[in-house]
Amino acid sequence: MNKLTEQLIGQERKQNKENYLYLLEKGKGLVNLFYATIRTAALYEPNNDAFQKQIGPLMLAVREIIEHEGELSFSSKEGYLFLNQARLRLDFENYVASRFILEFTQKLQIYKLTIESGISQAELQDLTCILAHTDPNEKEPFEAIEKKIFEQNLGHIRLEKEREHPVPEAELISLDQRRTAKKTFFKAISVVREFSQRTQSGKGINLVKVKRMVQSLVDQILQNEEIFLELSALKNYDEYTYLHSTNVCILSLLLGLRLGLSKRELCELGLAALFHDIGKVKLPLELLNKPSEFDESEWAKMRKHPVMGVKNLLASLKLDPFSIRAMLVSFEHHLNLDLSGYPKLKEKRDLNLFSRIVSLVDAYDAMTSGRVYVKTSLPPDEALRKMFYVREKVYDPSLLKLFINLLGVYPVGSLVLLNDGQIGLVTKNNPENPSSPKVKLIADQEGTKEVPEILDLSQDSSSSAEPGASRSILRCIDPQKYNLDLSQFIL
Amino acid sequence: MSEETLDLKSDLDKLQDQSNELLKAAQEVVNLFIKAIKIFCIYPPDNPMPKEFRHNLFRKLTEFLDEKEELKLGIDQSRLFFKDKVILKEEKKDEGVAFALYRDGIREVSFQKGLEQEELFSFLEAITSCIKSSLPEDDLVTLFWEKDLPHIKLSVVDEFLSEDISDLPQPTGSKDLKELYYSEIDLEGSREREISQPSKIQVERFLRDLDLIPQRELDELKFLLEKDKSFEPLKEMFFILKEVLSADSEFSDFSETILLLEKLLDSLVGQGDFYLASEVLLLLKNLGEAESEAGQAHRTERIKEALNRAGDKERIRTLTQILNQNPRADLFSARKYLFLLSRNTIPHLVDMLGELENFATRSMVCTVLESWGEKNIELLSKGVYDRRWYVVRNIVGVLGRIGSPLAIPYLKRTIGHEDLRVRKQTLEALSRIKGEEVTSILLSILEDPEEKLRVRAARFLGERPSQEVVDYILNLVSRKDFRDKSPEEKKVLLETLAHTSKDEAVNLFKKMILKKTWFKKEKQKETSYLALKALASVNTPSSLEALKELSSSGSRKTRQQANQLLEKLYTFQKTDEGRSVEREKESEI
Repeated sequence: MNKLTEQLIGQERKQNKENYLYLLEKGKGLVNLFYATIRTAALYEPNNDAFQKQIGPLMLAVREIIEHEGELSFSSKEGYLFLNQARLRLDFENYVASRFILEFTQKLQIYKLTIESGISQAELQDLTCILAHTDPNEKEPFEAIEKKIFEQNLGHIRLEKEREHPVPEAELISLDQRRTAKKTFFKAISVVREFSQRTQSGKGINLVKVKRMVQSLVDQILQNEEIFLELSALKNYDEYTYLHSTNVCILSLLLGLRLGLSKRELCELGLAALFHDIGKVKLPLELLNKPSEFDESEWAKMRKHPVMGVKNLLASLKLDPFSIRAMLVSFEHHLNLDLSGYPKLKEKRDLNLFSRIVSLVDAYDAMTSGRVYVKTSLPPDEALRKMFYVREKVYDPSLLKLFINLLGVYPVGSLVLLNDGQIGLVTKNNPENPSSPKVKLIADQEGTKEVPEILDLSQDSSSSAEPGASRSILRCIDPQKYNLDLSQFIL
Repeated sequence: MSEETLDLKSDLDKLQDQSNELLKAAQEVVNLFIKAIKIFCIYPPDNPMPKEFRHNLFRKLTEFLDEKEELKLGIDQSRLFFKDKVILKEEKKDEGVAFALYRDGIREVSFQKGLEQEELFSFLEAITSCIKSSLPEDDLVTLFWEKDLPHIKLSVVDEFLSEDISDLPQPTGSKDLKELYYSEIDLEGSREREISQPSKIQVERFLRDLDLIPQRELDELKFLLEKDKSFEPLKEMFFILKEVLSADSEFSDFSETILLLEKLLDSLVGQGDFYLASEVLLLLKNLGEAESEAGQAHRTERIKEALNRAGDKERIRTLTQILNQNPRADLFSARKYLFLLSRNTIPHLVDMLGELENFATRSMVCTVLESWGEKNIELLSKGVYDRRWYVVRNIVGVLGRIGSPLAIPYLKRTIGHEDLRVRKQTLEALSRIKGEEVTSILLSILEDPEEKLRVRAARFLGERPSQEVVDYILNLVSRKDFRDKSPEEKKVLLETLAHTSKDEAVNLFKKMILKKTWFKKEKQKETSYLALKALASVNTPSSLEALKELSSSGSRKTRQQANQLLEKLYTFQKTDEGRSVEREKESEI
């Protein structure tokens, strides 16, 4: 290779990277603007002030990207949204908007939407109106949109259709991914068990091993959040403490991902979450598994576990930023936002971000498991509502909202009773309409359904409950009450 | 040989050639890779040298990858392999690139086509930091993982992934949906009751509240994230520890926490992390002060105990070993750690001086001893009884820098030490201590068998004029054997005498100059000349008078030398006067 070619290749690589970073940065704002404009277009006429306020900034953003890149396209692939060639990263600032665009375009059978250089504001306005007013339930929505674009002569817009036979959603998560996720999940439990037992017997913890496990979890969660949301719904294992720590770790990672934390930060958060209850390892099992309420002396012992956690970590880990963060989270995870809770602080201060995350995730998992503090489990929706109503004092309100957005009102894995009498397992939440998730119908009056049917409650119009009304969730059901093993459906 | 066989042989030869070529190309890249790492370890990153190496490596590697798609290297403790052939063998088994990768479980590295410059540089940076630092930030797998290197694949030995999962917890529930169904749905009309449950209303209210996250809350989240970027682990750790100790209401719990801190200290010192160790020690110290102020005698005592233990014999021995093993140890922090120890540590530090293997670490310990020594002379001075001469020398050096007269009795002992180096150091130490007692010791050194020492002592005595010095040296130079001393010693003794005695020695000098002898004439001439110079240096009216007298002496040589010296003195005086006049004029202006 001569020097010139080498230089050119180098320049090209650099340029690609710069472009990628540019798109990532601009994509965030564009997605939010696009989402807001379509939502406004659905409600208002194009000449309405509210709509005009949206379309102007959208036009500016579109023009800027086209000037930089030559053209602009949104496309979806394997559940991810792409702006030109860059896969957009979802975080709390653009999560709802991105999910909306992904699902919206999927429903309209649009695989790729390209806006070419030279587009006018009027064209963009017409496009958003066409998209907003096309009924996804009509027979061929893609063709309908294409026709309107042609009729209105929107020459700077190109559409590509989704492939003819889209892969059923349930199959999108490959069996391989599911198997690996499951394996990692159970490995996580076994790693928690191992380090808990080592701590109990006063031995050191192999932090590298735990770290690798968390790294593996992070890698897989980055690839597919939903499998892990499902897995974290498992509650009924004998070794509750280990399962609980694993669930807290997974849910914390999912929330951290939504916050846009880096890989290193996610690893730090995952470790801290995994270790948060390590102060309990020396508490007697009879106390931890006590079926009735704790008396005062038992509470006193329980309240010591955050401090014991710090001591255990201090004794078992090498001092580094990871272990210090874990100590902090262990110490603070029962402190409320207003610093009530335990242990009592000598010096007032703000709770650390990771402690806030683990604290609310821990509370949610504990409430829905009903093993230690709350002796009977609460259905996920009720637990979330309960948490939401005390949010100002106890949990970080913004984080809690984000958490509920992540889980949905009926979190994945919730067992729900529908208004037509069927029983289903929530398989996917719907950020646009959190009370209407997708459910896997698993039972009716005949007992188990041999081939469970997947039902999207947000799209359901045929009701078997009341004529003319759509099916909806009545309430969550506690699977433990029936000694029901959800893992049969989840795993 | 048939034609077919010949063809086959030529094909095989071709293949062999290709394979050799490939191996050679891979080897070139790997050699460059190793060189680049070595250069990074030596030069700072902004130096042109590492930059050039980095770019050369990237060029070579991408050339290889553009052609071959992949460069996969196998790794063992001290070797790198390419296609099962060794292409690099490190000299030492537990050092170098192969070892750094192997230690963290990496058994294979594969560079793939499309590799970006940034990726390679990040990769190199991580390895270099691991090799360079005695306390790497993290293990290599984690560092690579965090850096997200899509074109560099690792094969890592992960015990946990290969474990059998058969003993994993099993679900305890049983599938009984029918029971569930019939319990939840009462077929005799309870469905309406279910539908009218308040939870439905609650859900709607809840959803209304939830809606989208408003800007204010988004800003709060951003603020939280931003704040977390400045997370200071150490500060946080101290916060936790203080809180934990204050939460320990029972003394036994408190003591247990202190014990953990002691163990932590041990492990930090064992790892050579003196920075953290000193921070922990500082925390303990501060806590001790706080507990003492709060009147918590028991707790204060417990902390004191821990602080004492931090500097006990065993811990100091560990510290010594670590310092000896690691030439790149953080001496600044090690010194800070030692400074924070209690004074009871002095004997162990003295002992440490005997075990430390390099100058920098010994000098670091001496600095600590020096700062403590003034109030602990007795404790420190016990070091002069050590059997190792170098320890004694270090302690004498420290005593000298402290300059306390309390050290004199100990220095008196070491001035008679069998090792000249100790005696030399003692002399230097004594020179820094004021007082008549030291003068007497210095005078006694004038009788030391070692000439260099005597000369140095004489010089120091020149700075301490006293009758004792004059009398002693007068006596010494009047002795018969004085003539036989070296010119250097004679010169210094006579100069010291001239400087300290002034006119008292003028007659003696004259006598020495004019002395005639039949034996050792050269020696006498030498003494005579040195005495003449000493006389000139007295520079008083009577010494000038004597010099003038000698300028008309019968001896031509003496006359000449006296005249020369007088001339020098006059020129000097003139210049001196001239300078004084100029200075006066300047001040008038």
